[in-house]
Amino acid sequence: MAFRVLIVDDSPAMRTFIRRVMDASGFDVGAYFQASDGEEALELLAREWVDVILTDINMPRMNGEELLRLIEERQIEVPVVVVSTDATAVRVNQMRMLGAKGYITKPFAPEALREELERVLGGASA
Amino acid sequence: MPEVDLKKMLADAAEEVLATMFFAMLDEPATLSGEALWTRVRVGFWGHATGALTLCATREATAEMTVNFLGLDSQPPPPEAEQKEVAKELTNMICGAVLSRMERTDMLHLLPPEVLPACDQIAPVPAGSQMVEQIFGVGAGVMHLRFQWDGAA
Amino acid sequence: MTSQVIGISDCAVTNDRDRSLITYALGSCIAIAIHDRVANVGGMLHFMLPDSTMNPAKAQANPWVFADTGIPRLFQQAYQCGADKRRLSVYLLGGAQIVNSSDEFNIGKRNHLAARKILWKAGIVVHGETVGGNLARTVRLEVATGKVFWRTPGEAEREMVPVVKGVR
Repeated sequence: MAFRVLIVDDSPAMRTFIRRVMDASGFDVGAYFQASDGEEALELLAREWVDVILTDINMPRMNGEELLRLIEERQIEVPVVVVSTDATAVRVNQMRMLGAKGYITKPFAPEALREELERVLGGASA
Repeated sequence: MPEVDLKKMLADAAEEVLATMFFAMLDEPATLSGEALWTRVRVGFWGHATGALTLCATREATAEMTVNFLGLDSQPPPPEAEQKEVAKELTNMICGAVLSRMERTDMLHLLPPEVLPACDQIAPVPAGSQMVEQIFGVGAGVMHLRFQWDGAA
Repeated sequence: MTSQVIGISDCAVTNDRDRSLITYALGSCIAIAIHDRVANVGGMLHFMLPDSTMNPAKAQANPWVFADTGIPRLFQQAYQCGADKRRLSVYLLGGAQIVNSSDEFNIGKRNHLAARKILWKAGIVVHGETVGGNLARTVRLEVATGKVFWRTPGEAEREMVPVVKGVR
């Protein structure tokens, strides 16, 4: 099954890094979509379907917290993995309470992201 | 928090970020003398404490970190815009890693990374500011970090 | 089962199911163990230094000395035996800083980072690693199963499992 992936981060460098990890990890990705903040992500989700969303938290216009709230509110049933520098317990708990299925903190080793995605997507890599 | 603890946190944070995602070792440079600080990025933060982390790096250090992060060939050097983007994310991650090490229960509040003009020397410390600094060799280049804050830390 | 010993600055790739590849005395050196479970190809490299530009003549004489000359060759040999990059499991072991050795440059850590950098550039994500510390490691790869085992002096052998870093 070819995955459709949405990567939400205001850093194009980080979006590239995440994409490289997924390509190198053997995930069968049919399409990558990218957004630089929550607002752009929601515009994209209004016209495309995806299988997983990876999102940063601190972003301009709309942050990851607000994005997650709106994803839940609009019943967009797609697993969300948070990728953030914020390692504090209060933030991790907050995002999980908002519905995040996965959480990984920067900096992360490439295999750590692969492991977290495999867990969330149910062992989907090669 | 004692300055010596925060200085070590800054070094540990930088070392962790550089090793984990940039596959680079931090070395002791001799001095920062005469090299242009080609890359300058500032990441502000607010909340329990307010302040900023500023990263300054030479051209060689910036190019090396970009090549490593994105898995590129070292020649030709990556485009300048790409190097600036990598430097922004590097500074963002080091700032987050320092703040996460400080004893705190608040969430982190980081501002978007801001690229500053290149310069020839490190700016003097503003009077009354609390800050810690570290200078490292990265590959053939040099990286300077300044963490400054106002209020409790 | 036969054991094939890989020495310091040495490498072997095989598709012999009855073989184990084993390397001893991994101090600051790094061993990379790779395995394709479908093609049943196993390989192991034991390299000593990170960067061949320090000594190109030495690299010419023996590419297994250095990470940047040895790692690509390890993978090339595996592909020639029928391995597929996407199926390879990859483990890194070693990179210790041995007490009482003159290692002011922390060669173990440099070797580890060099290996990770080269693998990342090649689009390869490791499945696990056990690196650092102060003790030399012995590493064994079972070609029949792809399992990687390691031990330190005086300790029982342990199986490599994926080690996840970066998730707090």
